[in-house]
Amino acid sequence: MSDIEIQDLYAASYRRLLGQLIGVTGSAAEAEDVVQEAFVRGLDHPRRLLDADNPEAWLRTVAVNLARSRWRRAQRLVGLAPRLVEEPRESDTDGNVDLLQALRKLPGGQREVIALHHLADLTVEQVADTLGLPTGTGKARLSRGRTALSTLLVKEMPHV
Amino acid sequence: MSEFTPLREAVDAVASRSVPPDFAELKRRATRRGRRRVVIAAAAGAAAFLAVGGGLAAGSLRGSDQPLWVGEPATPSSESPTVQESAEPPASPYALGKALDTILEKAPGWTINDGPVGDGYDYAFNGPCSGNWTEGATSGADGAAPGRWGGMGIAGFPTAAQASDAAARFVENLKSCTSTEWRTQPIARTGAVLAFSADAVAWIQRTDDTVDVLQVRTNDGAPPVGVQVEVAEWMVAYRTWQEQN
Repeated sequence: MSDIEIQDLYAASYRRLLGQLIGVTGSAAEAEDVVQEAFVRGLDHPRRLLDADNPEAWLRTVAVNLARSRWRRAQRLVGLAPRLVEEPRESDTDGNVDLLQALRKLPGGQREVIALHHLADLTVEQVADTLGLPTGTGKARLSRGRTALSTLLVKEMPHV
Repeated sequence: MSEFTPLREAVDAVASRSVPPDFAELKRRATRRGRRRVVIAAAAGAAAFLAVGGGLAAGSLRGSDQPLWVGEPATPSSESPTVQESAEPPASPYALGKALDTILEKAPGWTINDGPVGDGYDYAFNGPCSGNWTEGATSGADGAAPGRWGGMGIAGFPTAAQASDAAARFVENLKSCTSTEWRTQPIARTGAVLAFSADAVAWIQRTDDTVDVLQVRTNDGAPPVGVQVEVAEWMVAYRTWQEQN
């Protein structure tokens, strides 16, 4: 029974979570990896997923944590073995790439709060809770992130 | 329209072009993960056993090169309370590093070289003898190994078969190298390969789609077989811990 419920959740939530995680990571490929991995972990622990107050939020939190862990690892690895570290794959040929590149230029902490607040529609308190931050820190990052992203978009994409 | 509307539209557009994998594929991945976790828990339990009880066992090994003094790490005896009580996998990089140190430091008649690194030291993972073994890798890195000793490199591949081919290519490249004389041999029961030179010993372990290489400096050649096995099992435990954390 739980598999059917998770399959329904997968059908309903996958693309929404993917969009949110593209915002968090700045990379479609990275987002695909972590969202799929979050569902795999949900299948691994179905009761934890299905008993959660909001299963989609559970998946989002797992995916965000995976993204943060992978990002830290990747940062550590880039300097050590640059020839082996995967470059971001981009297959887009339209303006979406520019937007994603602007997003990627934000510091990771700011990108996370921007994505969760403006793409996942979480309140600042929910964003802080998801990221394990004090609410004040979440607010400060959101404010700085908005300013930085607006500046980037105006400077690099005046047509947007 | 919010200033973030274009951003939302952009990520939605990119997300909508993504083809999600079939749900059955995710289930297969979860099933494989579950199976592997069972094996790894047993191997990690053996590593924890070593950390706790290795001193006693090492005492009985003085002057001996006998392998398999740990027993069968993959299937700890249910009649052994020591193993059962110690069967929790190490829960942190620190604990994993300590477990590796314990394995390496208690090897009878075999010592780690902790002196200065010579100019010609060959770090196999990406040294002059490694060749193009990581061709096709989609991820990778190297750096200090957990614990006090050695370096560790990792290369991830799209499939287990490609990882297996790459590991074989790596071993062949080392064997045929002339700048450093590397000798290689399989490690009993583990599927891993040991490579050793006059200055170092390297373990090459494939786990699923990943190849890990752990290298330690020594002038003593290959360590006792029991240590070879334990380090190979430790590498599998470490790989699984990394994937789950």
